[in-house]
Amino acid sequence: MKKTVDISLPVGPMHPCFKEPCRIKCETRGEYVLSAEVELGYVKKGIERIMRGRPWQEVMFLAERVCGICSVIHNFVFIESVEKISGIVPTERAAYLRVIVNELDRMQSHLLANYSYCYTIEHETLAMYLLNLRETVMDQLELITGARVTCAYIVPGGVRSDLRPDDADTLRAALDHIDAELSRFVRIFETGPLIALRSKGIGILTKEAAIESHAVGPTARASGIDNDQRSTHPTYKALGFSPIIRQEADNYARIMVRFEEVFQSTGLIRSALAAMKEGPIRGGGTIKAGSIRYRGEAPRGELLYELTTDDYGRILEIAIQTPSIPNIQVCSHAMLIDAQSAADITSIFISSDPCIACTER
Amino acid sequence: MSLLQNLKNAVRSRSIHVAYVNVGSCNGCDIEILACLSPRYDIEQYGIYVHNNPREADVLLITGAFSPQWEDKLKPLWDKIPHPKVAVAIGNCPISGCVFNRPETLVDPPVSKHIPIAAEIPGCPPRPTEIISTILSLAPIIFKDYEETKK
Amino acid sequence: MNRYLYEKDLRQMKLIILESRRHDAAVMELAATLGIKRQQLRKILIERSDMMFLENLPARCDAARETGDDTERLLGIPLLTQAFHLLSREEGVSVREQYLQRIQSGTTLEGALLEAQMEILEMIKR
Ligand code: SF4
Repeated sequence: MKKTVDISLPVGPMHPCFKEPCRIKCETRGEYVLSAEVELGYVKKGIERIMRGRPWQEVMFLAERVCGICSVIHNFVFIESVEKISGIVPTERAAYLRVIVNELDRMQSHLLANYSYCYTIEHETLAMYLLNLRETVMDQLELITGARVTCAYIVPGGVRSDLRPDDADTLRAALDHIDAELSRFVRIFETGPLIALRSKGIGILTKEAAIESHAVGPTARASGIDNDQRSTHPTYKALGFSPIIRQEADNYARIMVRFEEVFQSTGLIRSALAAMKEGPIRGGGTIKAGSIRYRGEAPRGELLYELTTDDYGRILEIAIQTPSIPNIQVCSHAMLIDAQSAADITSIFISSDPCIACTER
Repeated sequence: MSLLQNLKNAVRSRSIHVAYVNVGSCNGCDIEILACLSPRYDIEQYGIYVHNNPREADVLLITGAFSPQWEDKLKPLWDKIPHPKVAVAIGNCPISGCVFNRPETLVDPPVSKHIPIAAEIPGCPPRPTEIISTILSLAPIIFKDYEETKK
Repeated sequence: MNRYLYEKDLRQMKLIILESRRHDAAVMELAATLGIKRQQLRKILIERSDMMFLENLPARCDAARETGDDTERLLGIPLLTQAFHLLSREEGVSVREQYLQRIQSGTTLEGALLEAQMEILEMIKR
């Protein structure tokens, strides 16, 4: 009789499919995955420790560098929590500009996530299409904020620079281009037989497991959980936002949720552009003492900042809970279990859009 | 100069294999390397291939300040890369530690303490074009006449 | 001799994870309900869980706090079974039932709580 041997299969820390270093140790029987364990510490920088006791002007830039892919939302949530403590209200135009930049950031992050997934399942053509489309989004981000990645656009009371009318026209044209191109790519994704084989029914995340591990963002929304912090944010409410939810709970659903959210983002930017009136983009204010727990919706899910400030505007205590933490945990301890083949390990892992840099901070 | 060396020079300048390693960055520099892959910048038209496999790489791109887990891992990784090889530090992080080099931090920059760095691209993050032009200008200098100068 | 490639002692790094603010609060909370010191609980957690799990402790606690009735919360059962995975669900149920039985048979509330804590600790250490 053939004997099945249990082996421990390490993946990483350097792996052609991973953007970032982390190590998954899988216990396998043949190709069947029995359990998985994640080993971190490759990008631990101790940002929360550095932040403690520093003035907000410094912490603002540190917060942005928690994660380079979704830097705008860290900026956004940190500034909004400081504003909430001190009772500063951003001007109306600034609030809309924040939404526009945040949605552009979400679009590029989702496109990048879907790029890595397509690359992992070896559909390189589609991956390159998506990466090229992402450059269009990056151009718009650069046009508005002045930098591609770490732009520090949002400041207490408003934003740093205004959107010129001709820039708004460029932005609208780019949005139309993205919509047209992306609907073509989504059709390729939906109908491709190879993609369906490697995505549908693979990496199932049940609703119970998702709730128990507090999964957030597209990973949770693909399992039918209605959890989107944008639906409680006042500016998004004014724009008539409602979250996208799917029920299939597999790799395919997670990628499709991200695609649909890109379309939703273009819609939100259009309505923000239409609703925006001329006005000042910067108000003033002083930072006061207080403490707060504030949530925002990052591209990967719910982002939580818990901070205490003092009267001099210093950050005394801070704790950041990034969306990748629950998502990677549920991915490694629920989705990877029962994977039928070792080749699915990387694709399942990438489908939850892991971002190690913000997991470890 | 021998004919063989000329041939090798010509071949090497059109075929550069790249691996990148993140030793504790914020991902900002990593996605700028990824952006180089996109058809907009099209790194492959210069004959640069990103494999992310150290055993067949010529150029190692390093991003990030140096986090403690890498202490015993970066050196073996560098040793695995076949000669001729070169390491390029991307971003402020491997050069100075960027914003992370403060009291209480866990990182241990600069990376040049641990492995030899041939070129540094400052910027937080540098633009994809800067990354490509650095690789392109560096590679011929390092790889030219490698066998002859080695002796 | 075979030396494992890249195997490293992770205890120090796990401790760094547990030292951050929200993790510390979660560990303190459970240590208080169990009646043990924070260091003891940290030691148990470092031995039992992988790094990803430790990172996710506060979020799991948030999710677990919304479940369970008053008795279970007093004993910390939702945290133990769902968030920290130190007990299985059946064990959680049995601890609760025994606690209720003791109260019915005339033990004081504090006495029953102490006994339940002892029982949980026995189960964890096993
Ligand atoms: S140099 Fe800047 S963008 Fe690059 S990894 Fe460091 S902090 Fe991030």
